[in-house]
Amino acid sequence: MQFEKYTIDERQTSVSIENSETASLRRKNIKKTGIRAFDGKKMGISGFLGNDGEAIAKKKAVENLKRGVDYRFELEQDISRNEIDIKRKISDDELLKIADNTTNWISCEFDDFRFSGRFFTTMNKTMLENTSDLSLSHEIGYFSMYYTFKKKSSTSIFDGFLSYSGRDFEIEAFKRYSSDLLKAYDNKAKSPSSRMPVIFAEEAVLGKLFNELNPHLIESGSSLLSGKIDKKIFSEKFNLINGRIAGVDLEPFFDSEGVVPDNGIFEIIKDGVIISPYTDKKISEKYGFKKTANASSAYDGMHSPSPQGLRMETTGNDLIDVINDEKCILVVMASGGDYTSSGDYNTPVQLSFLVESGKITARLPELYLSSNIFSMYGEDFIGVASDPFRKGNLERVFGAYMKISSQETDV
Amino acid sequence: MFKYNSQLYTDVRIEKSFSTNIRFRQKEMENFLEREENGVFIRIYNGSKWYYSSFTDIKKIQQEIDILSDLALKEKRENDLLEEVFEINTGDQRLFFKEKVSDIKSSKKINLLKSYFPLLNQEPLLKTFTATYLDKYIEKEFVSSLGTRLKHDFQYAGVIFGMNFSNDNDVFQEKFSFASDDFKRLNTLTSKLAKQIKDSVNFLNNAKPIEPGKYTVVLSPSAAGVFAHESFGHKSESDFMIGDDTMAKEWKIGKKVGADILSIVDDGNERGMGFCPYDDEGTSARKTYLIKDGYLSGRLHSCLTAALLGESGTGNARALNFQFEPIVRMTTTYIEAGDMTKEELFKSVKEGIYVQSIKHGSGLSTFTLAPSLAWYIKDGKISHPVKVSVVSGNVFETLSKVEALSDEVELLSFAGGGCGKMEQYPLPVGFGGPYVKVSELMVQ
Repeated sequence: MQFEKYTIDERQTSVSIENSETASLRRKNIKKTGIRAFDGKKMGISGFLGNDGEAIAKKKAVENLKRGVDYRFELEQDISRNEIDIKRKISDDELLKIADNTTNWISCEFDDFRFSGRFFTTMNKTMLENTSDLSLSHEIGYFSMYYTFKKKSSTSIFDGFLSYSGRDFEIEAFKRYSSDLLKAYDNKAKSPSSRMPVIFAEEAVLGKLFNELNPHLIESGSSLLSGKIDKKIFSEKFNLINGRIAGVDLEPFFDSEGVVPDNGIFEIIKDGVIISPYTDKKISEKYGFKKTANASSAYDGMHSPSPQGLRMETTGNDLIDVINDEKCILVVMASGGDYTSSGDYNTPVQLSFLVESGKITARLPELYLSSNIFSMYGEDFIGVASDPFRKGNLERVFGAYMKISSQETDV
Repeated sequence: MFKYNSQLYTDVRIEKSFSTNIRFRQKEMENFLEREENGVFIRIYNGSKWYYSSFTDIKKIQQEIDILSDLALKEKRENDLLEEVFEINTGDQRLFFKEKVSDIKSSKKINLLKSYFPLLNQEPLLKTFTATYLDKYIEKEFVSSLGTRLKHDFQYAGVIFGMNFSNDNDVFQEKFSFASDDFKRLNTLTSKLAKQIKDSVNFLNNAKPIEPGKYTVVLSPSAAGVFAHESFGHKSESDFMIGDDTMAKEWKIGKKVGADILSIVDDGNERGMGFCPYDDEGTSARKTYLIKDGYLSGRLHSCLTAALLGESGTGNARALNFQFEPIVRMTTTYIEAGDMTKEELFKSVKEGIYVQSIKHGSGLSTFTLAPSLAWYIKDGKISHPVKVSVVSGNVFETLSKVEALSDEVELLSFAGGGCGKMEQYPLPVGFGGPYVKVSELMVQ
C-alpha cells in the first residue's frame, strides 16, 4: 500500500471598497489536505480541513479503495523540490493602507465616478508528498485588486471595471492605466469600421479552445479539432503550451499527479499544428496521446485532465506593433457571448475603447464582435503580448482581427 | 455561548456540510468523492466597517472574536442601525435532518446513475457521455450578539448528463441537469432525458445557421427564468443602490419598468436550489415582488441595505459558504403566469425563434442568453433547429416588449453551476416562469 498527501494552504486578506470607501476587512485561513491510498489497482481518497484529521482520513482513504477509481500508474518518486515565489509580503495593515490610499487617489482624481471593489493579498502553499520519497512544495504570494466603476450620473449597476494582479502592486502603472481609461471614458467615439484589430485579456478568449482540446471529445470525434492532430490549422505564430512562464503563472510547478516537466514545457499547439490534447497519465495511456502533465484535482478528488496551466506563448512584437501602428479596440467588458456548434463566435461588447498609436483615446458605443475559432487563432490571429497598458500586470493580452457591428443597425 | 464586546455587533455562522461527487465517463467511474467540511465565519460591525474571519478550527471561535473585536474597536462609531432591522429568530428549524442525503448509501447513488446508462447508450450519434451525481447536506448554526440562536439546514441531490453528439459533418454538445431536495425524484427522469436526446439528434442533423437580426423570441420556462434572473433580478439587489442618489431616483418603487402583464418574484420559501428559509443573517424568507403588473414593486435586501434605505429585510443575505460574508443575492426568481395556453402563445408567432435550453446568461445594460437548443418558428409552428450563439437585448426595452405569457409556471432546479456575483460563485438558485413571448430581440 502506498500513500500520498496533497495539501493546499490558503491565507488571504482582503479589503472591500463600497462607494469609494473602505467597507470591510476579511481574513481567511483555510488549509485543505487530501490523503490518497493506492493498492496498485485502485486509488482511494479522503480529505480533511485544518490540522487535525490525518489519521482518520488515512483510514477512510483505505476504506474508499473498495469503491475507488482504477489507477494503475507508478507514483512519481525520488524528487525533492521546494520553490518559494514571494516578492513581497503585504501585512493586513499595509493592505488597508494600499486600499485606502488608492481609493482616495482615484475618487479625488475622478470625482464624477463611484468605485467599489476589493484588494487581496494571497499566500498559497501547495504540497505533495508520498511514500516513494516525493516531496514537492510550491509557495507563492501575490497581490490582486479590482474596482467596478460607474459615473455618478449613470443608472447602471456599474459601467466598467479596472483590475490589476501582480507579484507586487505597481501602483504607478495602475494609476497611469486608470487615468487613461477614465479620461477616455467621456470621450465618445463612433462605432468603428467593420473589421479591426481587437485586444482582449488572454483569459477571456481561451475557453472554447480549451473545450475543443478536451481529450475525450477529440477521441470520440465530438470536438471541432477531432481528426486534426498533427495538422496545421492555426496561424504558425500560435503556440499553446503547458509550462510555467516566469513571472506570469501562479500555479505550482507540478501537476496533481506530481509530474514535473523536465524542460519546463509540454507542447499542445506548436506553430499552429495541434500536437496533443491536454492529458493526465491515465488519458495519455488510454487514448495514446502525448503526456502533457495536465492532471488536476480538488484537494480530495481524483485526477482528471484539465486545461489549467495552459498558456499561449508570447509572439514577439507583432501585437505591440499593431497596437502602436493601427487603430485597435481594447475590450474591457464583453459579457454573454458564445460559440455555435460550428465554432462561430459572437459577443456583445458592453465596454470597449479605441486605441490609437498605443494610447487609449476614446470610449466606443456598445457593439458586437464576431469571428470563428479557426480564424481567430488562424488567419486573423495577431499575437500575444505582456499587457502594454499595465506594467507588472500578470494577465497578458491577445489580439485578433474581428468583424465589428453596431448594436443599433448592421448585424 | 460566546463572549461578545458589548460595543460591537457580532455574529457567528458555523457550517457543517457533507457532499458527494460521483462521475462516470461511459461505464468507467472517474471520480468518487464524499466530503465532510466544517468551517466558521465571524462578522463584527463597528458602526462603519465590517471585520470578517473565515477559518476551520471551531475551537478558535472565541479567540478570533477577540482579535476582530480589537481591530474593530480602533475605529468604533456610534451606529445602531442594524439593531432596528435584525430579525431575531431562534430554535432548531432543520427540515431535512431525518432524510439527509448523507444517510443514503453511496451504492444507491451509483446505481441511480447506472440506471440511465442503457438510455444514453441507445443513441448511436451520442458518441460519449459523462454522468455525474452531486449532493450536499449543510447544517448551519447562527448566533449573534443581539440574541439570535438559530439552527437550520439545506440539501439537494442532482444529476448531470453531459452528452457529446456527432455525425459525419457536425458536432453538438448538450447537457441535461436536474436537482431536487428529494433524492427519490432523481429516479423519474427517463422521459425528460429521452426527449432531450431526441431533440439533440434532430439539432445535430438538421440545424441551420440563423440569419442575424431582430426576431420575436419564445423563451421556455428555464430560459424565461434565466432571463428574469439576469435581466432584472441582479438589478433588484439593493447593495448597488447604497449611497447612490442617482440610483435611488432611478429605482423608485412604483416606477413603470415593464409590460403590464409582467410580474417577477423572488421567494426563498420555494423548495429547490433556491430554498433559503433563513438567510445568513438569520432573517426569514418572504415572497418579494420585484415587478408587479409592470411596476417596480420591491427589491432584495440584507439587514444593512434595508437599514440604510429605510426598508424591511427580505431574507436575501446569502454567502456562498463559510469562507465568505453574506451579500445580497437572489433565491428562487421567476416570472408569474399569464393567461394564454402554451399552444395559443406559439400560434401567435408568425415568424420567430424558440429558445428551448440555454448554456448561460448575463445581465448588464444588455442582457444575453446563449441558447443550446433553439428552433425556428414559422406560422405558429416549430419548423427546424437553428444555430444561435447569442440572444441579447437592452434590459428595459426588452421588459416592455414582453407580449405574452403562458398560463403555467415551471420552477426549475439544476445541479452544478449557479449564480455568480463578484468572487462568490456558484451560489445555488432556483428560477423559472411560463413560456414567454418577447418581440424584437437581437439574435446572432
